[in-house]
Amino acid sequence: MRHLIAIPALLLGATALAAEATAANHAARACTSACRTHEVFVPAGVYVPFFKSGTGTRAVPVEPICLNASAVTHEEFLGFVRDHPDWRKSRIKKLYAESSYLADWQDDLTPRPEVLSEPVTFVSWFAAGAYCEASGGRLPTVAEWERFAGGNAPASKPDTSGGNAPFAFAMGRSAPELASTPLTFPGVWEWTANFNSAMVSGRIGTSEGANSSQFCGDGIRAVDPSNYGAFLRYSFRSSLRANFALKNLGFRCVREVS
Amino acid sequence: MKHFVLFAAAALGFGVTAQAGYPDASTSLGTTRTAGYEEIRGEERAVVTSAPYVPPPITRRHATKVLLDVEVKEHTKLLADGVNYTYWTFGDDAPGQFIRVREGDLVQTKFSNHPDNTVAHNIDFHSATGPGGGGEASFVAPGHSATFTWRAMRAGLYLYHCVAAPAGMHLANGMYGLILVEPKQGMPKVDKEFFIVQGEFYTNGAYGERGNQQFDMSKAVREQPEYVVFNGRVGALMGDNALRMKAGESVRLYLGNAGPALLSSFHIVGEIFDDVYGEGGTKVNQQNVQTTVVPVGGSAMVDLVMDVPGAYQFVDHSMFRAFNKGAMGAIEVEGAARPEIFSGRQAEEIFNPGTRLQRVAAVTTSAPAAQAAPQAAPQAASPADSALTEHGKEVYAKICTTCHQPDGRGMTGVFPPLAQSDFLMHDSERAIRVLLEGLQGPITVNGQTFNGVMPNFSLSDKEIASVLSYVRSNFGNAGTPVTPADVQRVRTLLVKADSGAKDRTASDKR
Repeated sequence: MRHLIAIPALLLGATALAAEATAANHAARACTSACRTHEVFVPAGVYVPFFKSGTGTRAVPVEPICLNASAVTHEEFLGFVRDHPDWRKSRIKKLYAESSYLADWQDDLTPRPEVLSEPVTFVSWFAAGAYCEASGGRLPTVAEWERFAGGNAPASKPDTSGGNAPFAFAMGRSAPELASTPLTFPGVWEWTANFNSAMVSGRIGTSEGANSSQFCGDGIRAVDPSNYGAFLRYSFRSSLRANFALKNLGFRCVREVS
Repeated sequence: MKHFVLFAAAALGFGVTAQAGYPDASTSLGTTRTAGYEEIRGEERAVVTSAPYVPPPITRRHATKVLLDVEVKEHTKLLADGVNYTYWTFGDDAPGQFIRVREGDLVQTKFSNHPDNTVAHNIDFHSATGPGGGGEASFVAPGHSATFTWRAMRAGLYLYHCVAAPAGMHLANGMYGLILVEPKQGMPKVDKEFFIVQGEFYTNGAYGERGNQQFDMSKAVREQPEYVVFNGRVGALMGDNALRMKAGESVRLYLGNAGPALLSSFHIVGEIFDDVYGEGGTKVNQQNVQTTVVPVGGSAMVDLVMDVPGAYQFVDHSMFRAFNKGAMGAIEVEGAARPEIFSGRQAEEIFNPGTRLQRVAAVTTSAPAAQAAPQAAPQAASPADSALTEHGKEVYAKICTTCHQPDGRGMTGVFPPLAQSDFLMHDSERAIRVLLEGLQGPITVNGQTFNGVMPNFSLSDKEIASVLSYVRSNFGNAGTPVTPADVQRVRTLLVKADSGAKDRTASDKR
């Protein structure tokens, strides 16, 4: 990722580079102020897909966004279902969520009090998307999400929690320009808008015939086959369907910068 | 184990070919390749057992539908004393349960990923014929199940494992087990059956480092595990967990190797495999084998008779794995001695062709200084002592048990006992010296002479103090603790004595 940003810099003259940087800073300041208090600004950049496409590795441009600094909490989701009764657990359409939807809520409007400020889970992709839409945003794309959260923890970092979450291993700030942002990564996975667009299938083998743009679990097609955190993330996403409501899966929203 | 014996007896009555000897090398267990499939009659729950036990032979004369439930768990378990690791397992343990089906059976597999789990999993049966061995058919998110059915077309011993990306990590976290597709006419009868699966663990900390250990991606990619173990953890088949049988009994070991990196050279110290079903196929393809290869992602079956009673260790003969990474287990064989096969030690005498033993001079020099040093007064056990002893227990388990044995009784004529040992208890300073420098040459322990070599293990003062405090207060010994300060004092004396000896040697030459 880093070297891709560096290459255009090399092509530009020093003066032009300075001008560019100043312009970008102005834009960034303007946009930053457009983000709300619970959001952080993520400047435009590029994302290198983890799996090579038929034509090789191609960086994808990513637009600037305002991003929730942390995953949506039970308390925030409670506010949403108060205002939007169709998304309460007793009323949600079966098509939109499997039976485990909000499984840990006592009833329609009662999440467990001790987890109010923790990320809401047991939410389907439909419900997560509806929440984001109601708050004026949308779910991040895989490219956006991987760009801000797809950093791996250092392999040598000891797991002092003793728990069984691979999240510390597989999640963290990835874009260098986000190094100092107040982003937090809770111990859950997060929904993305197009979670099923890049497949890691459940088997070793060749690409799946007609679905040749989808990818298998073997490392050959990965840009970096030693990036096990990325394999875990893509593998997990590819096991999902939009109505799934899982204990270890929450979400956060983004808003496009107008 | 008791129920297994009962089942085996029942199986006998049902007419499993009870052969006195073993099939000769050309005997195939007869995988029949017919165009049609055997008729499926009825259905039953799969018979499974936890390591190291194997379900009883199948007495059914027909194929059936076997209902098999497999559930994945992610949980923290002990990889070695004081070492926690978050395992991903089929069922409760790594390896998962041993599954025994009959050639021709239809196996309906319900695969469940527990809702508390964090990643997607699946199962690939090497015994299944079809894409991914079921990997894709079973791939599910946490909180979901998937069902698929496969026909056990070919008899043999097969590995099953998780193949979800990144497959190596799922294997290295413990997701593997063995399934036997028993030939239609059964396997030759043996008295005991066990299964052993070799696997690797890539922890961020070094071998033996305490606390919660995490999967280390770079060690995995370099194929440099910290642990290579049998049945999922260090000591899973040692001490109280050793395999047990009687002299003269025949045993079949079902061997698997989950890897994910290292070939296994499976060897029982002091035994020879009578028959080897190479690579887990149905044919005995070699007899009288000392070490058999168990390929990664593969298996082997070995039959042998344990003739002579005693303690037998089995290892991956890539010996650093056995000594330093945990690849060791034991078989305890009970019974009357068989001197016509193996005598044990018959004579012991001094052999001294006249070597110069400089170290002995150095140690002798240190003795007067040691006597001059103040002896630590005996003290009542304090909390610090018990922490020391607790740590010593781990050091002992890791380093000393191989020779001195878990019960401290050593091995007659080979490794001296620490249990109620006059040599150990007589002089704590000598014991410290032995741990600091190693020991070579004849010594007398409890009236018996031993003439072996104990290496210097480069232990720290604290480790030496801990392990000595432990052995001096266990195995029927009742001695005072040894403190790290005691060890440091002796270490300093030895360094002085050593340089003194060198000085003298130099001046002698002058």
